[in-house]
Amino acid sequence: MREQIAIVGVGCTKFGEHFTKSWSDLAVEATFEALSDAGVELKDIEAAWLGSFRPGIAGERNIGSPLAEAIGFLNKPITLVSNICATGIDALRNACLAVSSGMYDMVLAVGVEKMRDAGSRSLMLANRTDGHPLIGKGRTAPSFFASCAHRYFHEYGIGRETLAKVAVKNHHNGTLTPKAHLQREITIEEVLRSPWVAEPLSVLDSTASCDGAAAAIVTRADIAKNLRPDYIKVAGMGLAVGTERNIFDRDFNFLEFKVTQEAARQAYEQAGIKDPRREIDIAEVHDCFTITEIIDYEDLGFAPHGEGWKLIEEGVTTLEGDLPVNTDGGLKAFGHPLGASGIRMVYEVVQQLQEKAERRQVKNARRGLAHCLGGPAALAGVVILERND
Amino acid sequence: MIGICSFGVYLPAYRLSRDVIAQAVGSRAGGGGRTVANYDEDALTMGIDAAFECLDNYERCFESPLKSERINALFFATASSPFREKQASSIMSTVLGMKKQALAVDVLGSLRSGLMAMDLSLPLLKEGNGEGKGLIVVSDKRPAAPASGEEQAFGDGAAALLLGRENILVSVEAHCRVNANFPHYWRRENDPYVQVADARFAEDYGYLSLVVEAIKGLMKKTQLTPKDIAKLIVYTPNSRLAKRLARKAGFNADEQLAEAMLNNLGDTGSAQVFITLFHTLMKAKAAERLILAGYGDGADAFLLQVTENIEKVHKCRGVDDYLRRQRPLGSYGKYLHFKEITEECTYDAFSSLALLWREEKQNLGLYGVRCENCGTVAFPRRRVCHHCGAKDRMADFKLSRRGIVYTYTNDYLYLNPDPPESLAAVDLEGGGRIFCQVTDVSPQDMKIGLPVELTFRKLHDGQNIPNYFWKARPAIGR
Repeated sequence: MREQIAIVGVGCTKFGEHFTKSWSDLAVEATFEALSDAGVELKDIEAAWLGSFRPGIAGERNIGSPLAEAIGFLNKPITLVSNICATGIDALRNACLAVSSGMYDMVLAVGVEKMRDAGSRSLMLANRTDGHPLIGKGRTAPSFFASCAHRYFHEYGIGRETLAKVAVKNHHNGTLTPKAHLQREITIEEVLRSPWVAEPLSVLDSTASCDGAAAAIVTRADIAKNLRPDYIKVAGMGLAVGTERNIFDRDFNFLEFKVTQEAARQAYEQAGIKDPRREIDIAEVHDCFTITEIIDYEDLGFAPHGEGWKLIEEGVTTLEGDLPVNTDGGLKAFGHPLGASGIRMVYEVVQQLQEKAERRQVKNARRGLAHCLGGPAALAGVVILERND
Repeated sequence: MIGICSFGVYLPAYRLSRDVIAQAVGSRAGGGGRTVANYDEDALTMGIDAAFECLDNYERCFESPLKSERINALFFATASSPFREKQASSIMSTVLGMKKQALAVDVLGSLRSGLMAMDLSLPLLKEGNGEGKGLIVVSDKRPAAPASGEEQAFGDGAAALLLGRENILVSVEAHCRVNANFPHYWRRENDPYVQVADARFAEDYGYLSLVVEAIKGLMKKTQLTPKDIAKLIVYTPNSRLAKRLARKAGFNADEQLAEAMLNNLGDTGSAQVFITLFHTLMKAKAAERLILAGYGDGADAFLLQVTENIEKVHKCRGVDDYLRRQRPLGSYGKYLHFKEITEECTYDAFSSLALLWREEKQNLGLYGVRCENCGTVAFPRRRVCHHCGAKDRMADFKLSRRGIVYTYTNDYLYLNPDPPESLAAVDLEGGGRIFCQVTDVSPQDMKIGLPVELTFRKLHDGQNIPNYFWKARPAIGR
């Protein structure tokens, strides 16, 4: 990037089943919290990037107007970004690129999703591949990751108990995070006993469908330092988009996701990271299902292929471990409103780097990573954030 | 000489015990069970399975594949076509990859439709150059009213036979046709279920009278007597009636009447007599004479003679192979669900007629592509090779219908009338992979390495038309 980009304010709603709140309510809460955190006003914002899988009132509104309407940001540039589960992180990425280009000094990236107005299943069900009426028909989000889990079990000899430990860890972290959707401890036995979603994944191996929004104010570092001393640097950003038809590809092994590897490679290169396992202090990774977090460890370079499961078995990724992962509960416990998740991760990394994470604070966290994965490993985004001191 | 060169049977995986029906509706159980088409099957899909089985059995017997371009005529014979208007044979000929100049026609509305198709195809084969084949696919999934006798009596199934002038297993020697207007079974335009005439009347004055007339006509024409016949293969709605018929036609019912397997399969409609014939052929000996007699709007009787080639049929997959894979359908409620008598729970049946038409080769013909530059196979089809980047260097690549499960799941989220929905990534013999639903399988039988076959099924009714595509099922053993 030509300019050093900074995040000067972040906001995030509580995630959950917000039956009393609209899409607009969530957008307003996240945006104004981020503005207040940055100490700026809406009139200081020159442009906005809206990340939303389905903006506005449930249904398809492929337009930026719901954000203009909600926050009163009228007749300004608003770009709608939609890239399934990497929507939020891609909205932030584009906001950063716009500031880096010199076109704008200060912009807003906001991710908003109202899942529960659309019924319990509708947004969870990618029940065909790339919209085709026949190809991949019947494939749901869990069925893809469940297929990965079966293959992983087959190749590396682990079982459901190891996956369950990911859920137990993330639920525990959720109880330390007031804004997280799920707020209860669970046990390995509960995960193993909970009903199937897609074998070998149970309900407690899966993220819950919920509503939420998160926002970030993006500016240049030279402007940021006048707003707050503890602004956060964007050290690297990567995005990789592949095909949703990889599941038909004989070279795709259901064990490693090239999109994550490539997005991470781009971000690490920009941030000068050679050994992510040692050089990253905390990570928010895409844990839509427990198996996904383990595969993420490997694709992000935290562990060699086939050994990601050891990190969970050895406690490396707990709050007390060397590399705490999903300190706020992750998608699993914080929740996964699609378009909001990427910016929610950035929100948590910022809390940790600014030492505002209270009971879940990780000591000496100086550099953090956020990672989103979308579709049947069809795309991924990675952002590296750093303290400026 | 014209005769049957190959045959295939198809029986759906599910069996419903008649006790289960009787318990649910409070009637008397007939004993045994009946075949029930899975929720994703209809007369067309079962017929296509039987047709592929017939072509595969040809290859098993004669050790060379029968190219579908050699089929000059296709007859789809059924009393329960999924369409009231539109020929199902046009879908079938596309799936089979037949040439566009071939005849493809539905023979509809009678239990005798399969024999009528034989009747129609013989003169065509006589005129042909000897190379050409005729394919007759006979299939039925006849709707029976809940709690009716037919509900217990009927079964679902299909059969296919390849007729030609070389590589003959059984020759067709003579034929006697009796055309008559006798309403025994019928369905009016808006009848949801098959209507049946009073049995005492219809059995005596319809069935017995007409079928005996056809058999006796055939005997007279060929100057043969019942002693000259090894087996009498005859359509029958119930086994008691078949015995009366055999005696009335002068046969020894105990020794000469071929077993129609009604107790185990139910009455598979127009397919029944062919399923019985093929089951009989598995044990037939060269030079034996058989009579194949069918009923419905009259009767037909064909005289067949077994050839020396019959010693090859042990290589074929037949009724027994299908019986071995049977799965009990535990509840009457699920049966009603499969029959769409209760509301079907499917959703998001998005479709596009233009898309289906444009992609016919891929979605019906099962053609992927293979890069001429680097050899990479792609399915679904694409223009630019993901491996080497070559643009528009793709050649058609026919996928195999056989493969091995690379990985799988049993999904409980997707709504499906037979939950859970099994899905698998299947590595196909010879190249390519398909990620698809797996049907006719118990969740506990899914595993990595499972040998599977692709089967043509209905996915949904988007745009108010059946959207057919491929699923996998556990391979049927030999």
